[in-house]
Amino acid sequence: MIKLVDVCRTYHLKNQDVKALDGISLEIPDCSFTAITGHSGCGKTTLLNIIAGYDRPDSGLYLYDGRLVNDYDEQKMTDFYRHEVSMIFQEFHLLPYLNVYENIRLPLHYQKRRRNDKEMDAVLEQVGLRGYGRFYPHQLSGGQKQRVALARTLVSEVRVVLADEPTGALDRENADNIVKLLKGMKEYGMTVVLVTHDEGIAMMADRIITLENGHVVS
Amino acid sequence: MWLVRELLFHRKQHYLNVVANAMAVFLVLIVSVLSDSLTRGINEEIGSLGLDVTMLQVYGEVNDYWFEDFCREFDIKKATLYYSFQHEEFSVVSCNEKLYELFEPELLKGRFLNETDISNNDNVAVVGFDAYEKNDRKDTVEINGVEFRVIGVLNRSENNLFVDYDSSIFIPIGYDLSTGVRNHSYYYAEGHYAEAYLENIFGENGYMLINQSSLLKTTGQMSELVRKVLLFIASVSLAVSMTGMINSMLAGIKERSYEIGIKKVMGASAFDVYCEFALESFAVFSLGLLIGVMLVILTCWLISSAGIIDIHVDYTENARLIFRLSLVGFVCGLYPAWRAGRITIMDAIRKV
Repeated sequence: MIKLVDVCRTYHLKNQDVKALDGISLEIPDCSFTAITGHSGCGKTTLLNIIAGYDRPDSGLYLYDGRLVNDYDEQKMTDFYRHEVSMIFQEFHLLPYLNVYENIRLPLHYQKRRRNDKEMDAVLEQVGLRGYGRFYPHQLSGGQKQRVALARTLVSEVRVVLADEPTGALDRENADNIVKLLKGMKEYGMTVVLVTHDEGIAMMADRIITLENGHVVS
Repeated sequence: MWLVRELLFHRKQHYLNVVANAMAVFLVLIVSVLSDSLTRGINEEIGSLGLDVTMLQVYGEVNDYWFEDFCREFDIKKATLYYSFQHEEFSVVSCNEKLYELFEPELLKGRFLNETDISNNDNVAVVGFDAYEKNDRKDTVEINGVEFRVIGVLNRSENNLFVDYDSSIFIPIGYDLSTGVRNHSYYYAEGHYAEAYLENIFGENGYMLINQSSLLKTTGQMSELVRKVLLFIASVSLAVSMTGMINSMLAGIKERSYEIGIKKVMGASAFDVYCEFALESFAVFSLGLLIGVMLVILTCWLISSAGIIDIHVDYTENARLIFRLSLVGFVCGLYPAWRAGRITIMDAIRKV
């Protein structure tokens, strides 16, 4: 379970300080599909980065399964990224010089695990990309690239999947398909947290958290 | 395998590094090989100039009686007196029979001076090959109005350090035909001598000693110094190329921070990223090293084929040099790799 207690995060810019999160407290249960929504600049991405462990709160507590993530050192954070949390970005972030199989295998490389092409094909089938294993990112459409990113997350067998505007660069049809796939990850025991400004997408989640000016409003 | 693909994908970033490294390596290795070859060539040349003979040149007039005592004192078996004269046409040397024993010149015909010739002070001469030709192969030769009978002719030979056989005429030591300067020298083998003994007789500045091994040592030291200076200059070019490579890699890492971010999101540790980038920079350097070595081989082959100098390659020394160059390349890649490892996911995300 993910638990945030009174978390604050301020960005110190040249001329001013921007309070991105102001005393956020929330809980996200296991095997749930939660959407975080709000207008631009309300702190959604900041919140997601803190949950992912990429950023640290200035104050407050971040508890993951009862353990204080604030205190994790570099090695523990690396283990956290390898086994607990994965992020899907709006820009897909596939490595251009690796084909689809290799991009999907990337987390396995760092987890020191191996899967053969057959097992990869099974994962690709789940995301509707069977037969695309030897394609390179530049040969895929936006929707296909995002599915590869999803497949990569499936293969890593993490417990929490975070998605930061995963449908931002996609058309409606592809966006709906991606969200359905994310929802399907619950069946694998994963907890999904999706950040979106699209109300329609947010409605597909089990639970919606709305942020405004760094606060949870609902 | 995908590290190779990553290297190829970013090859545009590495082209100039490879070229710069190749040129620097080429410069260092070619200086090493050429200076080594030249040094060996010079040493062989000097080594072929004569035997292990010491020449003692005395300044001013002195009688020769001290020399027998000197040879006895230091147990010198082979020694000779030697006077050389300036002459219009030939190089004239008056000596005793021991010069033949010391230098062992090859005879074309006849014989060298013997004890009888010396003790009788006969008008006999042994001529060098070129002198014989110059004298129209006559059986007699006139030197300062005195006619000498030619009793032997030396074969054409390589010059030695002290005596130019081919253009010399050797006459018995009893003759003093000097019209001007006479060089008064002694030659002896074995190399034993006590400088204090000589200083006692001639004074500190009254003589000069030259021998082949000291000449070899001096030229060896000079060659080594020149070699070191040239290698230093070549190393400066290597340092410049390494600095360029480090700079270029740091710039590349900044551009690739998103890629590093993705890897870290996927679970790469700082050490994983560090190793990948260190390997990449070592691969880039190694490619430059390989090209540099091939260029050296090609250049040496061309120089050798053109007969410019005789190339000699000390494989052990050059292998050590290549190993050291590899080490330099490896170490220079560590700092950019370390910087890559230090990039955080937030740094990477912000830059995208």
